[in-house]
Amino acid sequence: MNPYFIEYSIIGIAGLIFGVALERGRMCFVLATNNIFTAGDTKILEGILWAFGISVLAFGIVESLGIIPVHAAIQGVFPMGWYDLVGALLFGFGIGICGACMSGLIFRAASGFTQNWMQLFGILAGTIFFAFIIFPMTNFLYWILHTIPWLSIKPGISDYIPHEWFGDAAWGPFVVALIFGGFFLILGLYLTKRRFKKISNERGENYKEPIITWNMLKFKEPYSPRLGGLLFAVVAIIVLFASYYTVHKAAYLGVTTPYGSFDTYILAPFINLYNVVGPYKASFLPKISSNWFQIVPVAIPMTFLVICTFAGATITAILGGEFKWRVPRRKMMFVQNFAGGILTGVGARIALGCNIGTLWSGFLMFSWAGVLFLPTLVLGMYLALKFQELVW
Amino acid sequence: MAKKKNHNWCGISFIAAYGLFTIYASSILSYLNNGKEIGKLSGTAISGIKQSFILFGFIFIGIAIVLFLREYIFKSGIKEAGDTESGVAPHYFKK
Repeated sequence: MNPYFIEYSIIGIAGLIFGVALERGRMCFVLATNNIFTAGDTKILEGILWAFGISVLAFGIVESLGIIPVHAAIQGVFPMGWYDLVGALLFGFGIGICGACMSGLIFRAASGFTQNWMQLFGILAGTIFFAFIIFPMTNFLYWILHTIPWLSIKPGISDYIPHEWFGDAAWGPFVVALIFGGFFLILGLYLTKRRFKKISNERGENYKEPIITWNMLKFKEPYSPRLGGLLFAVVAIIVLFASYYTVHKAAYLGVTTPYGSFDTYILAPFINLYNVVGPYKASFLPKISSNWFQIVPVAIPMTFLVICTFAGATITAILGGEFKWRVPRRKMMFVQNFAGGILTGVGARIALGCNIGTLWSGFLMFSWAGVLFLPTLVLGMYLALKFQELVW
Repeated sequence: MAKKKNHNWCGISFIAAYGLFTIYASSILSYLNNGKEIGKLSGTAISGIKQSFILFGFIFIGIAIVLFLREYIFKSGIKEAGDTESGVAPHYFKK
């Protein structure tokens, strides 16, 4: 059987699970951050920390035991650089303006939130703007390789933290996973315990939330964010195994590059964006001219995952009785979300990914990309929150 | 019968649209892949990807049909749509 058919089919199933986890678990980085800044509520953040902690620990174990060899795992590693800081700031501001990160966008758009569809259209437009204007005119690939030496791409395994710290030691990935994943998981558990204690004191009774109940499985109530986080981790592991054991190349989760694919698919009847030659040339790649689409394949596993994620989220929104075509009261929200979407799309392209592809998968790849992406992402979201308070 | 206050017809249309989009995408992969220099996929890859796109396209359409039957034949989906705790609800009308 065709290995790519098997890979994409398994990843399609993973995408459906991912959609369920997003929609039922309300997994959104912006929602998590806004809840902390505005109400001191950590519920959603706990789920995200569970997702990060469990998946990073699992990847460390898998790589240390040699189940997925290091040479295969590093094939998909995103290199870190200054562009993570700059792109994450722009990206964070964009998603903050829209009120939804890449995961939040999917489950809200799939549940009928019209403003998030507008955000998606903004991202599609932003990706084209980056691809045909910023990418060639700034000679983008040259600058990510040749500026700020300590923040530039290091070839191959040099950007892999276990190798950087422990050389070729087999236990290296596990120790790094223990440090990063352990931190996320312990922080998540601590925040959960603290929240339960706070609610218990307010109510005068011992308060606890089950991770899973029958009503959750029957879609009668939302998932606890911790169950959503657990499913997140499961999806990341399925994608890694499916890709390695079929086409022998490790794949990591990502969302924004697939939006570039959607651009090309939608416009295919009119123009083939992969072959368009613009007026500007990227000197780093003399053989091809001028647009970002030319350096990405026509389909990557994550393209398919994102389509299936939308489907999974819509299916559970219907089964959970929560699908509704929701139109914002203020029509200006459409403009705001479209503009925010453009910033989101451009920021994600500058950072070589989003809060899924560069932040989460950055940690899963044991690259510094995730570490660099995080602080300016939070700063961008915070600035967007303050900006909206000023404007509205 | 209680007045229908959800928009499941729209969600079901979405799922069918995802299926149609996936099938459509499968039909243009070879065309888009032609002429690529960087990231060009092999014939085997394009063939396998197309097969899975088509398979899932039909699965989504099948799911949309099942949900349509649930909604309009068995009438089990007819109820008020709940809020999603999405954090953006204040921006929206509540009918």
